[in-house]
Parts: sequence; C-alpha cells; structure tokens
Amino acid sequence: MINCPYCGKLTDPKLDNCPHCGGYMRRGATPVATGGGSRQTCPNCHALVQDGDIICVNCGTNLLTGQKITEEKKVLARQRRSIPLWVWIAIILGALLILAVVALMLMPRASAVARARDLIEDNQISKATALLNEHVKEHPEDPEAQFLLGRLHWTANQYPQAGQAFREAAKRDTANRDAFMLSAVAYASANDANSRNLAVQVLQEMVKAFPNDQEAFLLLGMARGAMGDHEGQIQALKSALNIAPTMQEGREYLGLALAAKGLLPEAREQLNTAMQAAPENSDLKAAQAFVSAGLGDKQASEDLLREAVRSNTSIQDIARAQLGITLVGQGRFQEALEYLQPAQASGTATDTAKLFYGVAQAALGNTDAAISALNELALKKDSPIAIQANVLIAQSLLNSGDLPRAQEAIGRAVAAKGTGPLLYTTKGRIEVVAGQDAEARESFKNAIQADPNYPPAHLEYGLFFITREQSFDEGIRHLEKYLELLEPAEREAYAKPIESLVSQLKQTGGQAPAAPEAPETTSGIVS
Amino acid sequence: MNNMHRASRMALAALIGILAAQTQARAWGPRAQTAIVTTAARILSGQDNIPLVNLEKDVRNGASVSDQEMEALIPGALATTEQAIESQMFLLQSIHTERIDPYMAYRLGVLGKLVARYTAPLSDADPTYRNLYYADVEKNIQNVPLDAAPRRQVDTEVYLASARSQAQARQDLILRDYRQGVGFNGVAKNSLPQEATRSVNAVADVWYTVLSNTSAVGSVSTDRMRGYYLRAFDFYLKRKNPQETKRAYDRLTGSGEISPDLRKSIADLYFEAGEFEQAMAEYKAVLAAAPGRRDVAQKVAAYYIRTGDEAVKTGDMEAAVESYRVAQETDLGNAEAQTKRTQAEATISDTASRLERARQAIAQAQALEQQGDQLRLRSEYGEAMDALQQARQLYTTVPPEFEAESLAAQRGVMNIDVRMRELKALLVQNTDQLSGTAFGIEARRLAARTTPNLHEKAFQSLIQNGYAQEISKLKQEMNSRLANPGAE
Repeated sequence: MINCPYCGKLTDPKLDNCPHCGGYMRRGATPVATGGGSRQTCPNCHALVQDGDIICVNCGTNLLTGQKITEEKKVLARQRRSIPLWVWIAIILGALLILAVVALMLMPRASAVARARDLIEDNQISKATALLNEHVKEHPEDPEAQFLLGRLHWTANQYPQAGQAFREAAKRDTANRDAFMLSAVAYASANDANSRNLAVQVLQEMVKAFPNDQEAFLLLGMARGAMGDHEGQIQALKSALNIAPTMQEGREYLGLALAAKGLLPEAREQLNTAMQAAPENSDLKAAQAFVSAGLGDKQASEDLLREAVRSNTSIQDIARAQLGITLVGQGRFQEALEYLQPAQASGTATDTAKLFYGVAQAALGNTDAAISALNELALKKDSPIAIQANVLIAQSLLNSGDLPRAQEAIGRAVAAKGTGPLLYTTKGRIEVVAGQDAEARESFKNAIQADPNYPPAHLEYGLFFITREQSFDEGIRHLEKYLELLEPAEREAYAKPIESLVSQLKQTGGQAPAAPEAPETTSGIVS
Repeated sequence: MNNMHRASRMALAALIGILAAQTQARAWGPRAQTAIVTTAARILSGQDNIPLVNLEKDVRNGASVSDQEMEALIPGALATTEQAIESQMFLLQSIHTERIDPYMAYRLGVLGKLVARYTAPLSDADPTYRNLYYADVEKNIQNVPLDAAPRRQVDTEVYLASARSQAQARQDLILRDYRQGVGFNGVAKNSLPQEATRSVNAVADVWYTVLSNTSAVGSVSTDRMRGYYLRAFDFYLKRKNPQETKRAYDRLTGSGEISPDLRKSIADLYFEAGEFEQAMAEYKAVLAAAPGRRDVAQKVAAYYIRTGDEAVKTGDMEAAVESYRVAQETDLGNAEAQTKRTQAEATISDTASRLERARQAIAQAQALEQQGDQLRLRSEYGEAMDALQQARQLYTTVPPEFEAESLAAQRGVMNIDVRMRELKALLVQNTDQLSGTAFGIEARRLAARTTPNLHEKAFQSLIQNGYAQEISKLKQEMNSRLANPGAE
C-alpha cells in the first residue's frame, strides 16, 4: 500500500487511480470522471476547467468528488464566530509574526521547496522539477531541495539524475543514509557503465560516512564485483563480514569474489560455509561446481553442476554449457548433447556451447548437425572461435569424404591466421588425402612443433610414415609417442587399436609385409 | 681249466698246420685239385644222371676248403686219409637221400678234394722234384685229355690202395726226368692224362659209391649225423637260404631228443647269423629245459638289454621297457636290466605327460586359430594377429619327439605364418582407417582448454546476477519508502 500523492490516503499502488480522490497513481492514467457532463466545464457552476484540474476555481467544487470546499469553509466560519474576535486577531498577529520570522530565516529554501511541494501537490511535476533544478543550481547546498529533486527524478525513472541529486543531498547531509543508498541504487539502476561506476563511488562515500554499516559494505562489495574489481570486492565483503560475521550474503559473495580472483581453496571454504546455511541455493551449487572443477575435483564438479542445473541456477546456460563441456572432456558425447543443446540455443555461453555442441556432434559422426552448429561460428569475423569452428568443420567434412569443402574450411582457418596443433594436424590429414605428401609432412611437423605433447599429431604423423613413406620404424616411433602421451582415461578408449598396430608392425621387423598369398595356397595349407 | 683247454686247442691247430704243410706238398696243386673234382662232377652228371653239375659251385667251394677246414669237417683227413675217406663216405651215405642239396654237394667237394690229393703221384717223392712237378701240373692241367671209365662201386680199402699204387707207378721215371733236366716235358707230361684220369675216376667212383649205395650204414652215430646237420644248418644260415635252413633245422631236430647244448648251439648259430628272434626262441627253449643255464640267461638278458637300448635310441620307450622286462625276468637279479627298465618307465611317464601337454597345446592353438579367423572376418586385424601369435607360440612348444604332433604343429606354424602375412598386408591397407580416430582426444583436449573461460564467466555472472537482484530488491524498498511520507 502507498499514500495517494493527491489525497494522502492509503491506496493500492497497482491501481491507476486513487479510489478516494480519483488522483492518478501512474503516469498516463486519467482522472476518474464523476459526472456525466463534459470534462471541460464544472458540473456545478459550468465554468470552464482544464484537464487534470481537481478543484473548480470558480465555485470551489471538487471535480472528483463533487463536494464544495466553500461549504466546509462556512462551517468553520460558524465555529470561529463562537470565539471572541480579539482572540482571533491576537492569534493571527502572533502567527503572522512567527511566520514572518521563519520566512525571513528560511526564505529561499522554504520558498522553493514549498512551492515545489505545492506544484507536486498540484501534480505539476515537471514544473516542480524545473523549479528545483533552478533552485539547486543557485543553492546546491540545499539538501532538502536536492533530496526532493532526487525523488522527482526517481519517480520519473530518471535514475542517473536521481543518483546525482541524492548524492548531492548526501554530501550536504552526511547523516542522511537514505540519500546515500538512494543515490547508489539509482546509479546502479541506470544502464550505463558510468552510472555503475558512480554507484561504486557513492557507496565508497557511504561506507566512510557509515563505517559500521554492513549493508553498505555488502553493496559496495557487490558493486565492485560487478565492475570486475574483485580485489576491492573482497576487501569490502570482508569489512561487511567483520561487522556481521553471520551475514549469509556476505559469505556467499566473498566466496564468489575469491573464486573470480582465482583463490579457489579460500573460495571453496567460504562457499562451503555459505552452503551450510543455504543448502538448496542453486547458485552456490553452481559456484561450488566451478570451484571444484578449478581445483581438479571433476566428479564433485559434475555432480554439483547437475544439481545446479536441476534446481535452475541463475547461470543455467553457463552451467549447462560447462556440464556439457565436462562430458565432452570425458568423451561422453551423447550425454553432453543433452546439456549443450539448450545451452547453445540461448544464453550467455552461446558461442562456447555452440562450439562444443558441434564438437560433440562431430565426435558422434553426425557431420551435418556438427557443421550446421559450427557454420554460424565460422562466419564470425576476427574471432578465435571462428578459427576453431572452421577447423572442426574441416575435420567433419574430411571424415564424411568431402575433400573440397574440407580444404575450403581449413583454408579459411589458415587465412584467419589460425595456428595450433589441432589446425596443423587437420591440415596435414587433408593434405594426405589430397596426395600432397610433402605439404602433409610439413603440417604434421608444425603440429608437433606447436605442441610436442599433442597426441593426435603424433598419431597422424605415425600413420603418414606407415602408409605413405613405408617407413615403419619412424611410424612406430610416433605411434609409441602417441600412446605415451595419452592420459589414463584416454588410453582406455583410444590406445588399443594403436597398440595392436604397433605390436603387429614390430612383428614385421620393420619391413613392409609381403602381399597376401593366393587363397588357393592358403586353403591348401590349411587343409 | 680254461687255460688247459685253450692250450690243447692251440696244440691241435699247430699239428694240423704241420700236417697240412706236409700234405699240401704231397698232393696236386689247388688248381689241379679243383679241376679234378669239377671234372668228376661233370662226368658223374653226364654218365650217371647225378645232378651235380647244377651244384658245381657248391662242389667247387667244397674243393676249395683249406686244410684246416677240411680237418674240421673230416677229422683225420690229413693223418689217416684212407680211414677218413671211408668214414666220410659212410657219413654221407647215411645222410644222403634222393635229393642232393647244396650242402651235400659242398661236402662231396670236400671229399673229392681229399680223394684227389690221396691219388696224386709223387706223394712220397723228393719234395724238391715233387713240388716242381706239381707246379708244372698246375700250368698244364687245362685241356688234359681224359679217359673216363664207367663208374663202379668202391671198396674203399682195395680201391684206394690200388689207386695209390697206380699213382706211384711212374714216380721213378718222372723223378729221373727231373733229375736229368728233362723236367715235366718227359714222362710227366705224357703221363699226366693218365694221372689226372685216375684221380678224376677215383673221385667220381667215390661219389658214385656214396650217392648210389642206398644200403643202410649202421656205423654212423647219431651225434655225427647231428654234427653234419648242424653244419648244414650253419651253412644255409650263412647263405641266407631259409628253405634249406628250415629243412636242415627239421632234420636236426627230428633226429631225436635235442639236448640243451645242441639247442644252444642252434641258438648260437641263429644269433651269429643275426636271426635274433629264432635265437631267442631257442635260448628260451634251452632255459625251459635247463633253467639253471645262467650263461644262456645272461646271453638272453644281454640281448634284450641291447634291444632295449636300441629302442631307447629310437624313442620307442614301450619297446625298451618290454625288452628290459624280458631281460630282467630272464636273468633274475640283473641290475642293469632293472635300472634301465625303471629309467625307461620313468621316461615313458614323462613322455606321456609331455605328449598330453603337446596335444593340449595343439588343441588350444587350433582354437585360437579359429578365433583369429573369426576376428579377421570382423576386420579386427589386431586381435586376430594376437590370437594367431598366441597360437603360434603354443605350436612352438610342441617338441619334435612326438612325430604326429610335431608335424601338426609345424603345419600350424606354417599356416599361421601365411595368415600373419596376409593380416599384416591387410593391416597396412587398413591403417588409413585409423586416421582421425583421435578426434575424441582432440575434443577432450579442446574441452579442457575451454573450461577456464567459462569459469570466469560463471563467477562474474553469479556476481552480477546477485548484484542486480540486490539492487532490484533495494529499489523496491526505496519505492515504498519514497511513496511513504514518513520517509522524508
């Protein structure tokens, strides 16, 4: 419930008009017409009135209620007549004297603020605003005027202006906590970086004025964090927690700040404490998941991510993308698609999710789906992700036997000055298929030079030696290097055929095997 | 005792040598003797239809025996020639049946040689001229004309004395020619046809008497006859003539009860001739008749130990054990046989174990081969090669001592080697298919590299989301307060 700005009675803020006086509660709302006559004339005296007028200046009729103010005055007049006249004169003179004194003291302010209030009461908001703006230009030291101006801007959703006015009010009246807070919130509500910076500045001024205000420190920490100042965020949140050690939000955001700063063990500790108080907090689960991943606890990370996604964390898309990528990292491509599909469709992690959606599809052999997902990324100018997308497209096309398009895709990646072992290895594979052995050899060398510990480069180079150069010794050397570089989880999935190949190649004694003998000979010996 | 026996045998041999030397000097030369005996055989065949010509080779062999052999066959031949001839005639008469077998021909040849020598001229003459004469006869015996007389039965004593007397009739004349330097070209040469004819007739008549006189000769003992049969048996054994050997054996064993010694002799002859099975049968018969013959038992045991050893060399351990068993059972307490039997049985046991292992290895290898074929059909070349390699390894464990299994294993290895070559070629052909199989690794590595970016984004988003929520909450609070007049 709020108070009607016209009649001051409690009313529902959701209504367009006050049920008591008919005054409009929202911008654009129109006053209620109580009579059946034209709005241009008073229903009582038929004098001309303006749109938005409440009182008929001719007869004193309330255009909204239909009552005459003059009647009330008559009643009062009758009451006054019961008191001796001289008493009234004395009172009036006294009051006038007092008013004169006060007016003399507060003439400028009282006059501007009062007039502004009157204007506000008369619903002449823009006039009131103009009046106050004019006033604070000449009298910036007037905190009341600044505060009222701030209110007007706030009401008009002019948050940067509101922030500035409240901030000026706070400067003149450093005990006015509301002014600080309103300034900060107003600045923070604006959608420009400068305002958000100003919000931080206001909050810094606020914590100086209110050094024991935990809420101010909390908000300062959060504001700094939102601006990417995690060091400042940590300091502010620690101050908040010093004042109120049990503050749940402070603990949570300190954990996030530490995590963002890369201080993962400390972050985990703070987040664990926070989670004890709010075990169902999905954002905390998400944060813990990323911290666990950063600390190498992959299983805990995966479990927490699943819980966070299930309980609909505020970073749902990022969590889904992360979970999908985690599953890709484990080779669980089909399962990864369940999370990458929604993540790549919308959200803040779209590009990354799209890239890995394509990767998972490619790994599953769904070439068309992979290329479809990656094409959009591939067209992004001057983006590293475009290079990766093109390389992956090239791989998918090569695997599906479309050599010309694979060459085009890898060409785009190279033209975008792409490098790296994945690109060179893919390029080498394409050149092998194209019969460009010399170029392929060079590409594989580049891949290994770019990352000597990149297993696929050694695999492809080894296969190149065996199938193209007939150099089994050199081929075996690279294949063994490939096997050596595999991680334990990869070894299970990718080592066996190569181990078998190496073993068999060694049995040949480094010699190219003889051609298979005729089936007749074989069957004869067999029988 | 043995030394004495050996000394007496040596003395007898020396005597025979001396007698032989003397006798040889008093008789025709060997060529003349052979010619005379052979001529007699032909005459007899031609005149009296006695088929000695067909056995001329055996007759010649008989005529060619040494003096020592002759003495062995015809005891007293050199010392008491007339009695020896008579005794031999009796013996042969007793043995002879309608058929003349090769050994009889051989013995006739020996007898003929003795008769020819006995009827030679100059037998008592000066050795110097006598030897010159015989040497000249050797040169001139060929183509000497003969005046063959009809055959007649011989009264040995009278006949031989007459023939001897005739042989000495021209002795002086011949000796005079030699002394006077005429030599052989005088009386000797002119009388040689008569001299040779006399000897040929004498041989022929003696044979004729032997072969045509069917009356029983009671003076020949069974032992002598058995001696003859035993020699005939030996003769045929050495000539590898099983039919005659069998006939001789039958006559020998059919001549009455066979003593263990005689049977041992038979066994020895079999043994010397290499007829070990028959020899062992005879030895066993000896032992059956005379279980105490340790010499025979040892000989049998030695033989079976030897055959056992040979069986061990050839790997036939069952045969070896059987041989050692017979040796052990024949010569009770034979330590060598017992030891070798135990060793052979242990070897059999070990061999049986190895054989079982070899068969199991082959069975496993064959199963792995089949598995390899199935894997190959599924294009799982690596696994197929692993299976075949294992199979090959199993085949190579099969030892060569088991011929059938070893052969199967060798075939298996050859078969696998061919398949391995095929698989290797297919392997390289399919190596291309392995290209790109590491894409999963590339995806994984890419995921690992990308994650930190999302971490930063996640933390920042959570911070910003929280801040936005906080500001929104405060904004609502402020709205309420600003709307409330009491807030001013």
